[in-house]
Amino acid sequence: MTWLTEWAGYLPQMMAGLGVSLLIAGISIFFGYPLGLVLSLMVTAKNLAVRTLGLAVVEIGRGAPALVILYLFYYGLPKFGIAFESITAACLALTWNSAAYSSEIMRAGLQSVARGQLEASNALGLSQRDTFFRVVMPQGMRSAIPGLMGVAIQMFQGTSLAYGIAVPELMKTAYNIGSQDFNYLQIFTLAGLCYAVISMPATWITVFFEKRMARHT
Amino acid sequence: MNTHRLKGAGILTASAIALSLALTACGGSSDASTASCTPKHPGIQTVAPGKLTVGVIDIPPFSSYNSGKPNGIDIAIVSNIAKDECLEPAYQQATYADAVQSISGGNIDLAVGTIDATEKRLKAVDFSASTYLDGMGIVSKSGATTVSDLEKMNKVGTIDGYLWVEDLKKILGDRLVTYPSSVELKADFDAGRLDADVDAYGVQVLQFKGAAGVKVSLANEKPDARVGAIAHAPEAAFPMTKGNKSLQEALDAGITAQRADGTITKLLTGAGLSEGLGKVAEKQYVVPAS
Repeated sequence: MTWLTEWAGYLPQMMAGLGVSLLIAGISIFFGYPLGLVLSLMVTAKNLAVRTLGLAVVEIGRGAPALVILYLFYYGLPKFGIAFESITAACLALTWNSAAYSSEIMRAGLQSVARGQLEASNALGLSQRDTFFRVVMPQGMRSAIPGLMGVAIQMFQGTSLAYGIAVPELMKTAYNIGSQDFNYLQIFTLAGLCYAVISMPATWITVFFEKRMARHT
Repeated sequence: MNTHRLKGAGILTASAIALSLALTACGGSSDASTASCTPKHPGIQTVAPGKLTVGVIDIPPFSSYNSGKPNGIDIAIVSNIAKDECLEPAYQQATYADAVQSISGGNIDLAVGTIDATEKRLKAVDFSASTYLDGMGIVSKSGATTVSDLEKMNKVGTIDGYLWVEDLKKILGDRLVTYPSSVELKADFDAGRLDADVDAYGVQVLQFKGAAGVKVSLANEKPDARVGAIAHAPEAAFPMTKGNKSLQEALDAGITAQRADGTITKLLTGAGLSEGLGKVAEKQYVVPAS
């Protein structure tokens, strides 16, 4: 009961932090997915230079921990005269991360479109552009949706790393409150609940979509 | 053949058990408190008998885990006490976030790392006698020495958990940015995003030693009534298991003795800090809740 009373007092601050977390996650998904699509096309391109560049961006984005990328953007770039605000740096780093992960999901989705569909488009005389936008993309993206939703949840949870670069998001708010009386357990539990309130329904929606997709395959 | 193997395995297992039992027995009998060493305070209760388990938070020059070879002012104080009480110090790495949980969970006896005694924190842990004053330092290129100087700046950085954070927030508002640790704070100051770096004075003296073009000043020398932590400097102490009177008595006696014989002053000046930091109040100052 004491915890509940104290939580009620902390909630306004926590909600402000949650708002920042959702903003960063939203931006990184909004810009990350289109960039992911471009990267997925680069990775499958015939041109070696384009393919290599795409692979490098994807592999670094997936291979390096998100926190390292965050630190590089925030603390590393000023060495080269580029200094972003902390929220901007967090958005850029997580956009790269979401683009790298989503590109692989999109590539797998696009490549899952049956070869017969391409042959049929060819037989109908559709241009390459029309084949991609009207045949391959709608089907490929449809099968990529559950995976992309998973990445979105991962991005939202990943916003907690932005604490390391002083972004006033949910985790930082929790840490700030906890540091006053060292009762971190209580405040981190509340932070965990805040993350769960968003992540769990999102996971259920993803599972629902996965089941619907499975029904139509 | 199989029977022989089984027999061999059985003998090996029995030997291993016998050997480990013997070693355990040896550990117990070689306990310094029962052999050549006489503790100043017999019967101290600790989480591991014969050992003083200490959580070490990285905040040089006060304490540093240093890859399993801890050093710093707090470490020196604790090891002197452990020696007097015939306890073997056992150090493990800790952070501000987990130290108190580890104390209340019975994993460590105490934590070191310039932790100030406050009324709020006393709900979760007990505190030993104070070791030294925890001064607020200001680092800037403009030579700022007071809170009024900070008010003229665009962006000031400090660290979550320090007792001046709430007061400075009221004065500076959004111009105050807080960081998880001194490392991130200094990195942002070096990157030029901050006009001033507000941290524990002792930490700054070490961090900015020899740095050209920056000034390190102790804000407590020019107190500002709006910031409680400057008007009345908080006192660092060791948070420890709540209700463990035997350990608290030993820690209090050890710290008081080291304050009286000048050990703590020597440790402070040896780290390049002002000996004034060693002048704690006769009665421990506990920072009030609000």
